[in-house]
Amino acid sequence: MQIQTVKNENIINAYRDGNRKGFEALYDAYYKDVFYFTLNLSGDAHGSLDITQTVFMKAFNEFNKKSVSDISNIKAWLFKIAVNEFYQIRRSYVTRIKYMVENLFRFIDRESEVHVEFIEKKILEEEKKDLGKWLLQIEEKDRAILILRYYDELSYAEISAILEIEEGTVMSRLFRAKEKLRRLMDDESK
Amino acid sequence: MNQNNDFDPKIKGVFLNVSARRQNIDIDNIKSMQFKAITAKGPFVAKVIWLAAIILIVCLAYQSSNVSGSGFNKAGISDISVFEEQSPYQPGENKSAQSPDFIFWLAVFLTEGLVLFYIIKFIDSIATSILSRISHDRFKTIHFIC
Repeated sequence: MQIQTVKNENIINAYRDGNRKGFEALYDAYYKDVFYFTLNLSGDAHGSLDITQTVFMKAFNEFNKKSVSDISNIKAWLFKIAVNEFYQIRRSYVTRIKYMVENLFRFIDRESEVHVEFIEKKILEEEKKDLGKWLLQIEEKDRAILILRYYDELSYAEISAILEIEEGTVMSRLFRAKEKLRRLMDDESK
Repeated sequence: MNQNNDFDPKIKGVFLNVSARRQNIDIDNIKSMQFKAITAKGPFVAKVIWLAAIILIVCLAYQSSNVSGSGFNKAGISDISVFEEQSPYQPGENKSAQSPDFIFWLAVFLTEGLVLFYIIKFIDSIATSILSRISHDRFKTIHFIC
């Protein structure tokens, strides 16, 4: 936890400088966290790459605008953007169209498509075995809490800040998600 | 309540397994590619502008081809009143008939240029993709054409 705080402070300092290197430090430190968080949430490699890109694009744009001192926990801040983006895709037709346009251009840009296909194949091999399959059977809101708690090891307070819900709600939903996951695991082992 | 100790060991084990497996997946290539895209100043906006430009060019080309032709196309063939109300066409009366020709050819030129550019880019990507598969190091092959 202490290492995490130091890492966070260093990045905030670099971010405060307001140059490209500051963003690069942020990107390097949290890219995988954001990508795997959205992958756990959506179960779709293509979609999570899109969301990850959008999250960092927003972070990049905030660079010059937002006062960095407002951000105390960068990881939680990025996760909050990711969750909002994920739910927005589910709800908004405009966002869906935006991603459809992105995919249209991806057809032209074969180079990035090769990378995505490679990652998708790798992840499909690994993820469709157990957890990836089970997570998709848990309700979205409960799933997000389970992932944030068990995969990213965030505290209840951080989860509550990211999802903008009460800590008590976090605990009750986590309990429900764990029960569901246990049932799925038991069913599989029978 | 000590939050660090309230993990269910069985569930934690499953998450740890997945996390360990992911250490072996190399996503650095896509990571650096996305970084370039993000720092290249609003790639999505650029794409939308491109798309809007293409649509505009096509619309202009369509409109100018109609205007520069006879009055039948402009009014629509189903509109019978055009035969009754419009005065006979006189040369020199329709001033807009001259300028759209330039717009038409400009639109054709731009559209063809754009299409050609993407065709070359597409062929290049396919060639690169094939070459990279042969060379076993699929992510380090230099582009074939561009």
